Amino acid sequence: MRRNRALLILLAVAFGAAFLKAGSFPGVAAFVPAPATHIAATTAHVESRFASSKLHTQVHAASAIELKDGTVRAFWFSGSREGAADVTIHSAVFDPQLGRWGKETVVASRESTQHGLHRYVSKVGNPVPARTADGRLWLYYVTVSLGGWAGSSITAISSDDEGLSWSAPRRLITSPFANISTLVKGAPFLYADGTLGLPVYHESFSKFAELLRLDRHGTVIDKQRLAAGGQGSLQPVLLVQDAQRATVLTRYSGSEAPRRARTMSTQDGGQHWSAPVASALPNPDAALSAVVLADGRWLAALNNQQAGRDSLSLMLSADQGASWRVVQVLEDQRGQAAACEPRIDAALRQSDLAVAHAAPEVYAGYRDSARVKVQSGGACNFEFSYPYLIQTRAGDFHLLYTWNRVFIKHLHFDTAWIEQRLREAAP
Amino acid sequence: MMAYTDLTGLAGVAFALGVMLSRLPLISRFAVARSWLVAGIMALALLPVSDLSLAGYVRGVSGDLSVTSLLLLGLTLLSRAHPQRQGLLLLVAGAALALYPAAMGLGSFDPYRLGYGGYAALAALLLLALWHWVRGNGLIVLGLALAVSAWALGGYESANLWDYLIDPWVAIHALFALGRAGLAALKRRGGAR
Repeated sequence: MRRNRALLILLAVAFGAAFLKAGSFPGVAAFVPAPATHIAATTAHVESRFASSKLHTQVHAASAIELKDGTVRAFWFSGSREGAADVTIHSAVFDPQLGRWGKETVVASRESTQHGLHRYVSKVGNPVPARTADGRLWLYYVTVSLGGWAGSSITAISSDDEGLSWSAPRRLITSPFANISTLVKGAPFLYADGTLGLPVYHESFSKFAELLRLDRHGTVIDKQRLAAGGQGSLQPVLLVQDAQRATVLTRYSGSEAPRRARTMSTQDGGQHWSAPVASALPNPDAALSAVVLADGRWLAALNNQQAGRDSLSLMLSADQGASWRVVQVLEDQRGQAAACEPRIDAALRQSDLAVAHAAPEVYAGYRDSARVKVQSGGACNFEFSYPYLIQTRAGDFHLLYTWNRVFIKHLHFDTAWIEQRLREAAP
Repeated sequence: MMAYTDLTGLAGVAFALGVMLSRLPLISRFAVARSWLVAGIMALALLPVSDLSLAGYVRGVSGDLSVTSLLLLGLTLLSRAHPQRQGLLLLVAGAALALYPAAMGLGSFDPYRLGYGGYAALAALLLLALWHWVRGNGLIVLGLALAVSAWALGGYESANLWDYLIDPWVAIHALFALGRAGLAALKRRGGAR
């Protein structure tokens, strides 16, 4: 009898504390539409260069964020091959005034992550930066302890000095099955109440897009499935239309033809999402990136093809995704009959003027790095993938993407250039 | 500096290693009390070897162990054949079947989301606990109360209540134990005929 009463008291205390805790969680929040950037009238500006500088290494999954001083910090992973134990998360800062990338540094590795998390980590992958409402910079990146990417978890580090130094890593717990499998790729966003939205996706057993919501301390407070398993929606990108309306675009990994990116939308601040449907954008099972312009148009960077990743395009929609126009084909190696080596040389020289005009021995290093990857296995396989597009407060755009897994390429352009391209492309 | 949630997570894994390894014939033949054996194995498992402890290696794969796991391991350590153990395993197996297939992608509803502190889920859990309390299932009530307390206090790095209630390893154990018990019951019935 006494034991029963003690159990009842224990229950009352436990659930009393639990209900108190539940009451402290933030409620439903609205989206924050893209700020109306003041864009000074300029002449069209576009320039490209490589953000990464390490030779004879594999790089992939670039992302970027604007720093408080108007510079842009990029992140990507780099190592002997994707998924290798020597892969590390690299970062560099681009100064738009100087038009130059700074020194490439390592911000996280398998070893540093394992040491900080106090558990075994076998590899690291996709990094995605975010800025929380308190101004702190965060980096979310994929970590795996066992198996392939399907066994991924997300690890977070934060910085109070804009990425010069980083906190000890913390693990986000997002799945009940040994915390597998959640991965990041799309750009995070802030809700109106200061909580952070993190678009993520699941790859184990079945593939589907999800949305995490994190409080101001970086703790996961909600997880929402955006599409059912088996519908092939991966790597969601969120486009906010207003406080209540948003659209998600995703990579499509299913087998339904024609292969098109999936889209889903909400009308109530993300409480409910429509079922995924095929969008107007082709998708060869590859990541895409998109932003909402101040005037409501959408700008996307993607592989505008049903299969392969040997072209990359910038596309614009003025009707919220119903139709898209090509702004510029940024890379295109489709169906070319020319020999591989001259094509590599031409693509390399067009990508970065500094590399093109570098001393012969420096250029040879870049060329050899590119040749080894593009011509691996005796074929001629170009790959332009994993775009990550951001717009800065000044209105400039920065697009980073994987250039043949050898370099991270950076395209810096402005709205005037987009308008010029649209005028030139108009029938 | 190590976060306290790393301490709790590692300690849980080390405890599981201690309880399980102390049952091995090779180890159990040492003529010391079982609790000392467990404590010794725990200490060894937490000792860093080339940057990471054995518990850290295991935790990388296993994740943190639920309060239910620790409770059952505690019963094992005490060698108590608790009469309500079967009932607790049944509840764990039921929860696992309700949670894991859907959470890993079956369908569009994710029950794991309920674990992020919704009032409805907490109320349902409270009703379940009260029902078991009325029926005198003290072990289940104790397990639920400890798990909910640990979640409310933020005992692990997970903010999701499910991770305090069950984990895949206790789920697998429950399903196997119940399956074995079911087979044994069938055999007995066959033998009686």
